[in-house]
Amino acid sequence: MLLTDLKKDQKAFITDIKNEFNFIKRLTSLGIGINHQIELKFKAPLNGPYYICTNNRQVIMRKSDTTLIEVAPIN
Amino acid sequence: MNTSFKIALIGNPNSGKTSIFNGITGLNQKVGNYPGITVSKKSGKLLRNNDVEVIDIPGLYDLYPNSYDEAVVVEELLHQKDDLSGVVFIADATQLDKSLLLFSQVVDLGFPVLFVINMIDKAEANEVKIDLEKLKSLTGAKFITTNAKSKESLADLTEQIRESNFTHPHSYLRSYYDKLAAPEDHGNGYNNWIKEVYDAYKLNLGNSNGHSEFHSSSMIIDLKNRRRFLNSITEQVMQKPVNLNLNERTKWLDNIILHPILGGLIFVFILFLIFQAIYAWSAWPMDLLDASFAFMSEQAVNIFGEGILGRLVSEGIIPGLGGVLIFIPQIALLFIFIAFLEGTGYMSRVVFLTDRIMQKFGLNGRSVVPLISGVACSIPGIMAARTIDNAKERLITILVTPFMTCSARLPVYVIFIAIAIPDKEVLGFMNLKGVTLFGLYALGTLAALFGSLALSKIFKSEGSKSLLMEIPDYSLPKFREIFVMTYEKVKTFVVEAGKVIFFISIILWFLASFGPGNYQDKIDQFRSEKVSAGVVDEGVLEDEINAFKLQESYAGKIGKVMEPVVRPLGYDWKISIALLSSFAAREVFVGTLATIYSVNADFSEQTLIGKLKAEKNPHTLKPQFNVATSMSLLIFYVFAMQCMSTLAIVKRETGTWKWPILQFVVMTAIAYVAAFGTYQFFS
Ligand SMILES: Nc1nc2c(ncn2[C@@H]2O[C@H](COP(=O)(O)OP(=O)(O)O)[C@@H](O)[C@H]2O)c(=O)[nH]1
Ligand SMILES: [Mg+2]
Repeated sequence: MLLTDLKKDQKAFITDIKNEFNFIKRLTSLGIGINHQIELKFKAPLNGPYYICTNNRQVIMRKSDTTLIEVAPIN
Repeated sequence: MNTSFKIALIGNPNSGKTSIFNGITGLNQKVGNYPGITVSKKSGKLLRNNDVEVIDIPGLYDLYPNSYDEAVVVEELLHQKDDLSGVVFIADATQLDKSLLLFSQVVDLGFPVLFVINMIDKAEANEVKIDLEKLKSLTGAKFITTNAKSKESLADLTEQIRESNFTHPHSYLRSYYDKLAAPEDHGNGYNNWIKEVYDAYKLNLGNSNGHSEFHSSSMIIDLKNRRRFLNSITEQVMQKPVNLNLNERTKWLDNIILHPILGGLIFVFILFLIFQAIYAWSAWPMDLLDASFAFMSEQAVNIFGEGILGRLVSEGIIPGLGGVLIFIPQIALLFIFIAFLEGTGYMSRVVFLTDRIMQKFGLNGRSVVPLISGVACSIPGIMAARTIDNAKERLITILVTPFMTCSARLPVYVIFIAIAIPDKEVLGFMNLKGVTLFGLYALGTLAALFGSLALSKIFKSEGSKSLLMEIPDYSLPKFREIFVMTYEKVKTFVVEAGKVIFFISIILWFLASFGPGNYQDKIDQFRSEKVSAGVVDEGVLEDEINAFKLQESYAGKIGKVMEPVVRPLGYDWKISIALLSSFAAREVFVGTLATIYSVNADFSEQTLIGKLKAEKNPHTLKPQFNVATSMSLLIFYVFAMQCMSTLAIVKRETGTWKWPILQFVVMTAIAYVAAFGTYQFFS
């Protein structure tokens, strides 16, 4: 499933990332990669950005970006 | 050691490179610029060891450029490859996981490395623990921990550098790239690959992505592999206090600040506060500066006399300087706010809250503060656009911010609304004048938003598709950091933009104070004619002479030449002189009209408005400032780029005259067409 489909406060592992160079470059620079555990904390209203917690840091990304990340929810 | 050698400091942005650089070189440094970019290039000599040259390389996250600035830095690194005896790799201890990526690439380039784990004090305070022994055995690097603010740890580092304690850590992918390279290039495989990527990128710069399909997919594999491998290292060596749990304070505050309704209200309140500060709190220091410069001008006349020198000083140089320094209160106030909000971590939340709306106009949440600041004054707003990391979105923000209605437009609006708009109630409770004023502000805002939409289409702004940023924990900002940022911004403005503003104001003063031919004779003749015609009141006489002087000056002549150009907008040569002189600053428009209409002596808005209303067009004998002309002027000022200071700061921030010139031409063209349409509509 995609990161887009996670619910608030749901946890998951990143299983794959779409091959878009600029996106991957930015993601890796934040220390995020495959096998990382993440948690969705907030969604801005009206399809606004997602607020994600990973690696003990918080990251926001646009909803369109969340479709590039494949996740496996934990329970 | 006596042999001279050169080393470089490399690391992620904000890892403390500059602090360490300053610490180990003392004041022994020089600052240059990379060609064509604003990032500065610093080099210096190691303290008490002039044989060792140290260079501070701008921060990078990896060696795969996706912006021109990054490409320049990567090129520099490749270029220095054979000259460097070693690289001091600097990492923020609390962000070690992030920095290992660049580290692994630097190692694969074949540089001998000394690994500095900086901000060790911060790591301790945040209970981040790093197992150095394990890190050493996993990476094969030599480590030293520092706190860039402590003399001892820097002395230790200096000693290590002096003894050239660099080693070759385990490479991760180097052998892989060596296998791909020709046999004679073994040991250089990764270098060749980076160079190939860089060359291809430079060749492709015009393209939307900048990288070819082939390079992109290879770089993606490289990044993904490194990240996966390095994360397994960090998991073994880095211990963080609370895993996957937000800092409690951050969690608590974000529930309020990011709340869909409450968060929005808080944001609006903060904007209101910023706006109030730039608009109202800055008024008294600005008035004070204004009064001081007026006083100095008077004194200058006493000191230098009323001759050319005295006038140059009192009417040219001092007001020119005043015209620069007058902006300091607004710039300082805005940056105190921005630095404070940035320091608390709130600024990143603004992006979260506003990104959705701004995205519709091709921008991101970072553009909100520059645009809103533009309502007070474009200059601090444009300087604030530095916080936008996407180059195209930053440029767009810079280009459209002057459409926002700045406070200098207000005097012009007040006068012409008074002339054109009747005192009428609308909908029973609103005054038509107030509604018009609001409409002008709204029009400016719409121009900025739709302008950015159009520009984002023209520039094919890639970045607007994606937004990915880290949100820091909340913290109390440091007074020193607020001070330093504010000071830097004010200094940049005064030094860089100030030069241009000062220069142009001297030219404008010259144009308005001198005229072609026997200018002085004409004025003397005019004076004696008036006196013999029986004008005795000193004030009235002076006003009439000043009006005449301006008419006969170069500015007056240019105004007359320009008249045919502006006649379709409903303006005469007097208005065209005022338009020209208001290029110094929009509010000068009103002052110039006051001079032309000889109402300086007892100047008040009411006398000027009365005078303007009474003015007849010499051809039609109808009122010159009728509704059509006044509306046309109002609309002209909504769109026109009538501000040299803004152009100067755009030049400074974009590094070229191309953008301010384009901005001037396009905005003036829009203003012209809109004013023309307005004039035709109302007449
Ligand atoms: N607490 C702490 N702060 C540091 C240390 N080194 C740098 N800083 C701060 O971190 C920020 C970024 O440092 P700077 O030298 O500009 O980083 P650069 O971007 O790598 O050049 C500045 O505010 C420094 O004062 C350190 O060892 N400890
Ligand atoms: Mg720096």
